Amino acid sequence: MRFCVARLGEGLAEEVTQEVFVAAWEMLPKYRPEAPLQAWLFGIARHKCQQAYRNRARRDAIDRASLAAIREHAHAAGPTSPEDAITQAAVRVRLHDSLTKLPGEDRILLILWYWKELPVAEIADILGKSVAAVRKRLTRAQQRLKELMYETVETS
Amino acid sequence: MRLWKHPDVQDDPPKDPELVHWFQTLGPPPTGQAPSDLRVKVRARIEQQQARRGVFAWMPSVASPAWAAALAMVLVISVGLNVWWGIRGFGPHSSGTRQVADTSVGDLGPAGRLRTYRFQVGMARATELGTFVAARPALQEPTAVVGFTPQAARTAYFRMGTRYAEALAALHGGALEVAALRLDLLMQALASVQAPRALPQYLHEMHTLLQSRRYEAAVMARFLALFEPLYEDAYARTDTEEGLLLFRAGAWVENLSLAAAAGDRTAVRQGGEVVEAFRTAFIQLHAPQEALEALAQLRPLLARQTLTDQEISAIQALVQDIQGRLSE
Repeated sequence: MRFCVARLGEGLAEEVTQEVFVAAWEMLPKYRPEAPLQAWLFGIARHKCQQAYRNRARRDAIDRASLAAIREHAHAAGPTSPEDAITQAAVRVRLHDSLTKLPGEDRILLILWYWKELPVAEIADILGKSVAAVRKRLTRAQQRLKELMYETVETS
Repeated sequence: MRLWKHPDVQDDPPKDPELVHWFQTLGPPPTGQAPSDLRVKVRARIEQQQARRGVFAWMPSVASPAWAAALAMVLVISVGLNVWWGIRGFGPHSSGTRQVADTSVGDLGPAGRLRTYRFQVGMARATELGTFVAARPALQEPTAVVGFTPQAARTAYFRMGTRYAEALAALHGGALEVAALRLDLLMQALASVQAPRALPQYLHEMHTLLQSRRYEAAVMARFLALFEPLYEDAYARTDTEEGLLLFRAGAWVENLSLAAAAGDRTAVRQGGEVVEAFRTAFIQLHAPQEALEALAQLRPLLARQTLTDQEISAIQALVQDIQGRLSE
């Protein structure tokens, strides 16, 4: 479940986790006992996550869920001193607003890379893109997010 | 060597500290806890699936071999007839028109169906194709079925095309045992990519019929030929266009290999009509550089009006090289 949540967010993870176990049940006759069961299950889970990103409706759902999770965190209570709390809350709100203005794919990339902390190779694998393409897009997305963050500061 | 990987695969790039800080303010991302009713929900879904198949659930326990053979025959004929009506006839095309529909590999529509069958039937030494396939070692499919990486799936799609063309060629030559072995490998590859269920089911019935020896090889070849449009229909409905493209590529390369082995110059040249289209597609799929270079070397050879024995041997070597690099 944690594996799917890290890749898909909470919204779709439960459904995909169910699918993983149903697929495992169906493929059980093909399972080779000499291979570790955990690796086999993770293989299925990974494949299901890839499929989710390749389905447009599901990809949109993942995008919406990620944004909703960030919004939720943006309005969560902050830590330590009141000054810190105010500063960090402002950053979180700005981050949420800036991410909202990015194209969906850039948003997904940045969230997977910076927040979920997945390696680039794994992001590329899940999204069905080459590592080079993901790196290139990440560079552009980072730049754009920074611009948007500073624009937000200036306008406020 | 890492196959199907872009050459510029490197470690992760450094993260922008400012962005790291901003995202850190969000705190850790949700990790998710399995809901307490997950087991119940999974069980319900499995039961739903079982109920959907329930009509046939009794079959394995009571079906006698005679019943099974009869039902298998009915299934093959019904699938065959459905596909048959939607496609052109089986007869070999005249040399002027053969393989014309193949010129666009990106075409996912119905045009150019049965291309592998037609190509083989049109060859001058079609009845000897089984001998060429039989002369090769029976390669095993990779045993690992875990992972499901795009790279593993890609090589599996390519191998499926190769195995299909091999099985068909074996049937043209009356080599039923060889065809059965290739079908086994094809079924293993289908299982490794979790191919749409209709495909292994169709092959399973084919395999049963092959073992029953009830029909002669030429009839079985016609039944097996229907697998190609069935596969294309199945994959045209999915998001994995590469599944379609690489299957075609595998079958095409195998046909070219057989044509070269048979010394059929006309067929070799016709097989070369799509070489550039495949090369372009392979570039987009980040195929191994060596395979792309081999395709580039093939292009001028296949475009020649006349081919010497030496050139045919060179084509054969290049084709084998491509097969090796794309199916490992």
